[in-house]
Amino acid sequence: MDGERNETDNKVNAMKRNVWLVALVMVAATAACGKRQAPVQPEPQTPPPVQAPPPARPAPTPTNDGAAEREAERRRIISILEQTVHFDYDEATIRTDAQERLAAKVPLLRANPGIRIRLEGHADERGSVEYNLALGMRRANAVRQYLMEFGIDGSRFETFSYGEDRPSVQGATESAWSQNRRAEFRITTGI
Amino acid sequence: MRRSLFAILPLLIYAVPALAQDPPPGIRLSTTYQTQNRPLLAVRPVEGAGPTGEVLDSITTIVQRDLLNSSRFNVIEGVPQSLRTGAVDYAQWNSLNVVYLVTGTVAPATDGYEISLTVHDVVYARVVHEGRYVLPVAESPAFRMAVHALSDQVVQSALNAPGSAATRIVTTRQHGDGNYDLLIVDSDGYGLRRIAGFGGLIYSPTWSPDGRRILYATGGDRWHLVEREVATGQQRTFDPGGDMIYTPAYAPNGTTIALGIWRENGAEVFQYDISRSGGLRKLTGNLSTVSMYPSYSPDGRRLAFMSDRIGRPAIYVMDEDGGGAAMLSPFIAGQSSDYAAPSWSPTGSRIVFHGVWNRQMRGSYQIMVADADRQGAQIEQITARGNNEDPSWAPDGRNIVYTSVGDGPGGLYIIDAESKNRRLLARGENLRMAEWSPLLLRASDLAARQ
Repeated sequence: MDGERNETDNKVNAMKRNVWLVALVMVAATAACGKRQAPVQPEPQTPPPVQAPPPARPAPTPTNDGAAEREAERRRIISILEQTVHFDYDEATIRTDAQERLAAKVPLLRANPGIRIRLEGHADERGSVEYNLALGMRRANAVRQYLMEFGIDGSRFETFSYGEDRPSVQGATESAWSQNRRAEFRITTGI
Repeated sequence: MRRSLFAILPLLIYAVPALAQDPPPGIRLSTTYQTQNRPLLAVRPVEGAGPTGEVLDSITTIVQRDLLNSSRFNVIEGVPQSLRTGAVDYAQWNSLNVVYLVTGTVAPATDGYEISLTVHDVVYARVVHEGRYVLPVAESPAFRMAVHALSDQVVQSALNAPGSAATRIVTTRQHGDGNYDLLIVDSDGYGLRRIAGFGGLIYSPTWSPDGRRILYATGGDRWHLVEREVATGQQRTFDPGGDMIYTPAYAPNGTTIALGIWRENGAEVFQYDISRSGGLRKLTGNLSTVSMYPSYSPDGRRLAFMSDRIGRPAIYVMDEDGGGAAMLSPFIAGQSSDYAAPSWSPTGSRIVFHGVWNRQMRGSYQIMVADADRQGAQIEQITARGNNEDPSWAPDGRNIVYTSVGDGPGGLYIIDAESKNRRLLARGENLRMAEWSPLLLRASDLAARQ
């Protein structure tokens, strides 16, 4: 049931992204930017991998010379904003490497105030199932708090936790665990 | 020289982790089997003219296994041919060291069978229980549960103690994609089956005090509670608010629940009334900490729960209104312990939970038992190997179900808190979060009309 809905959601979201792409081009052309653009879209439960660029789509206005550049810029923004940050064992403190990644997101969030993000916290497989749900939530909230300190409006972030149930790497090794202790970023609307 | 080094090396490799497992003061490792003190019990093959031999055999076998599973008896495996029929000869049974004997006679009845069940005290040569009960036909899905209720009657009559055969365990099975199904299984491992799920997140299923409903937390776009009628599959949903909800538990009244709710920067334990979908009240209050896993005492006046208010997850006991919280899990200076998932015994003050005294050992949790009325006393650790989580008491206050990986085949196990005997209930490394139901049927529900 959920699987079906996700598929539908993915299609709907893909369509919506196209619509937003057109909207973005128009907005950029008139240099009218800054208004909150839409209600939050439902987020698919199994979105595409974090680092992968969105699938190539035919440009909506192939005659427009700037479209390719704008699409490239859009992809660059998505890839920076959706870059995952990692955490130490049993911790929700923002590490130095995570601080750098978050700092890179700040100017993009400022320049695109319509962007809203779902922050998904994750834990490694050690620890109690339900407590790990809380640990993931703590991590998502720590990221939100950190970005708010840069003046980003906290209401632009929705926080969620999958606990240990959505590992990015399978396996019971320190390397797998360190990859799985993370917060992921899903842009839900605004780009 | 070289040879002796080779001989020593393996010894060292095994010795080091073994030393690391030795519990610090405050925790007593208690995993040895003590079964010699159990009274010996025999179930004489059930007799009867109406039903097939197969039905008679299955009644005998189910009762025999239930009484073994009760952990309260040693059970004779094969009853000597000479003692299988006829009048009960107490002297002969006594010479076999049998203390309790169960006999039964079955006759056909409308829509099933009538069984006359007798429990004998062999030592005193007397009958301690005699009753006539109606069983559904063997093909009925209710048949096995009815026989389990008879087994519990035997425990009650012989030892004046509750049984736990007429029960089920609810659990979840996790798929490769991380989603869960909800399953139930009978107390003897029979009939593991899916009752809900079909993908999605299902956490912390728990039984209502009447055993008719199962409540669990589920997530997705919005976290909420689902209460499912086991017999009909009918569902009700509750949304107490908050960003996430965790670990619901019924109070003995069946309408009040306690649960963990995430709000802003932390999770606290709240009380909520499902009969009117309201009455939300916060019981714990420590900003930016996590408190969850509530479990009510049998009288409903106290709650055990987990909180990381001192910086690490520990078990506490508090009054039902949130007052007077005191730590129950061992506090050992310099150790970064981690304890969670308390379950309050339905028959007393004992609380079982899982944990480690050093969080570097997370992932190898052990099952521990403490006494809410003896805070600060030594905790008993009753498992020693693998990773063991989410313990839950049977209604007999003696057997405990938990999930286990790495000590034999992975799956649900049941351990007797007294003898430390354990048995595999259901195989599956992906089974998680088990909870034992209350008694679902009593022999008195089956009593034949006089």
